[in-house]
Amino acid sequence: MASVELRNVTKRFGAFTAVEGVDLSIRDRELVVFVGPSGCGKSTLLRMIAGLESITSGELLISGRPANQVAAADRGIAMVFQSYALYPHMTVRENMGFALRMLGTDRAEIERRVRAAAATLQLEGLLDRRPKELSGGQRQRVAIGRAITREPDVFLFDEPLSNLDAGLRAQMRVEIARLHRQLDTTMIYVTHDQVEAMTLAERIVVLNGGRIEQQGAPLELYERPANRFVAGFLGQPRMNFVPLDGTGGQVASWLELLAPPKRSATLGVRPDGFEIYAAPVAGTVPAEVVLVEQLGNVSLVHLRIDGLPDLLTVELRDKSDLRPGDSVQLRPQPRRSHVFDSSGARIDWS
Amino acid sequence: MAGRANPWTTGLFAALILLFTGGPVLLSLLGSLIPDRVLLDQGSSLFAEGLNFDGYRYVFTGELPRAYQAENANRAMISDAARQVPASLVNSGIIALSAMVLNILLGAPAAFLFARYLFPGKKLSFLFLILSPLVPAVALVTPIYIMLQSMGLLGTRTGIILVHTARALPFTVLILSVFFRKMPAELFEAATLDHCSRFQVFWRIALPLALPSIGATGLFAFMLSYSEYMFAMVLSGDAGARPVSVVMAALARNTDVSWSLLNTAIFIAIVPTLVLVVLVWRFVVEGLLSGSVKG
Repeated sequence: MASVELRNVTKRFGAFTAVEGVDLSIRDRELVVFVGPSGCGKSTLLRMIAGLESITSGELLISGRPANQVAAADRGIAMVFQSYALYPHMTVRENMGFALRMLGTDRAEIERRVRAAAATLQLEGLLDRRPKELSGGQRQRVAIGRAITREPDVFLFDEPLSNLDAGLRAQMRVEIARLHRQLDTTMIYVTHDQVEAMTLAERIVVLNGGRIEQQGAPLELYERPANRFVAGFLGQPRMNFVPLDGTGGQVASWLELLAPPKRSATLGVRPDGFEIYAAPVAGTVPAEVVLVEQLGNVSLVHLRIDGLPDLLTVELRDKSDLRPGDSVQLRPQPRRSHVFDSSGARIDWS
Repeated sequence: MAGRANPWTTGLFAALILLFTGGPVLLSLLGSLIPDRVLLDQGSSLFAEGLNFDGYRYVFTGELPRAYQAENANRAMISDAARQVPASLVNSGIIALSAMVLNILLGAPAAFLFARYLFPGKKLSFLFLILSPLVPAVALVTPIYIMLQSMGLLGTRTGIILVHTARALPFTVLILSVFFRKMPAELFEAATLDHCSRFQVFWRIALPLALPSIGATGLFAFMLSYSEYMFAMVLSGDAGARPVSVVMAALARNTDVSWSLLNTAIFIAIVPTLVLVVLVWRFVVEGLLSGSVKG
């Protein structure tokens, strides 16, 4: 059981700064997800915690003890890699027991722990197979099993599900969440998939350009994004952004409706935060339907407002009768509208 | 793989390759069994004379072939050098196997370091290693001769082993480092997290996975040493360290040599390489195939 603390941690590769001045405190038994676009520094951060990457400056503490100079193997962590990194020449049993064997653990104890991990992950029948005889999902389980047998203080997951197909990914996601409850250990999970982040995390850390943009509980980040980046990154389909001025006043009625403190601001509304009307009502703006995507339970309507650079996506419950070319009236729900200033920071007002 | 070749074309190519590789071996075997008289005397035919093993008997026991026991036979055609073939074969075997083992022992760890770690002077030393085979061997003969002389290794197998090892080592390191570089880095990182030291990462993870490549490069080092002539000739002297390449050259230099005897020596010299190829080949090909399937 362990806490992990990063104090002003920076990583440079030559002139390139991959991670800059990150301060982060991960509590014991917490499941924290690092999420961000590729190249945001999330994997580098994880690898620094693992000890696979040196820390250029700043301090890393594991269970309150400085760990910058501690060898990777001695940090009490286990890592699950994106490519699984199973040893191809060893059976599942040997793969899972390898770290213990290297530590000189007694054979009976290795066997006991391997069996326990195999039972947890439903791998009992596969112990004598080689990795190449396993499916992707099974390999992923073995990789997790290999981490479990070590009984580490901290589990690190580096995009563990990104090589799996969508169905399996959803299933493994549930399994990892269950595992976290069962093992009750600190886990740090890296992903670029915001759905994984939203469903797994107790706390999400959104990274961009090597810095932390925002951290907090998934719904907190979803409902009160600190800036335009976080707002745009979390949520599927993406949030719509509309400049409230400077487009010729097409959305002047929205400006009136919402009355934000600054006029030169960007409005952010998630696709389910709009109302569509057939005829003009207070605060609506005319829009033209460009495309309707019927997803069964919901429909996504793509709309064009004359003069706006981007199409807007609106999510409607159930099927939609709208057709491309239809004219509608559009209005954001004030309670579900976010406003960001020109630097991208959130503006709160009521 | 894109598109499958027509089985007939495949068969034709296979036959051609077999003709070029197996043909000479078969010819030398046949030549060693056909008595010289059949080749040289218009009057006699293979059906009358039949095949015999006289050449082999002479090489291994020194008993003259029956045809040359006749009083007026030209015994100059029976070269003494042929009698040296068995001993030189032992020499070659020891030299080539040693060069092979040394190449693997020295080359595999070096290749792993070059492929996986950063250390001061890495680029320069690798460049040096890669470019060294470009120096013409002839230019090296004298310095190496003097060096071995000062070490008292002239006319010894050890001297030739050292030179052959050094000649093959750049290739071994290059080929194996390419292979080690292709292995996913995460595998070694996982091993590091699993409490492996650098040596254990090499010994327990990299080496077992590289065995097919190591087999292939070892075979390559063996062949290079087995067929090397110039250094072997200069460094072996007249002592008992002569490898088979030197003895074969001496045998072939005699233009009057008995054809059956020459072919006997050739075939005997081929046998060890055939045995080794059969032993290692399966292993190498299996390794390459399993690698490609895993891809």
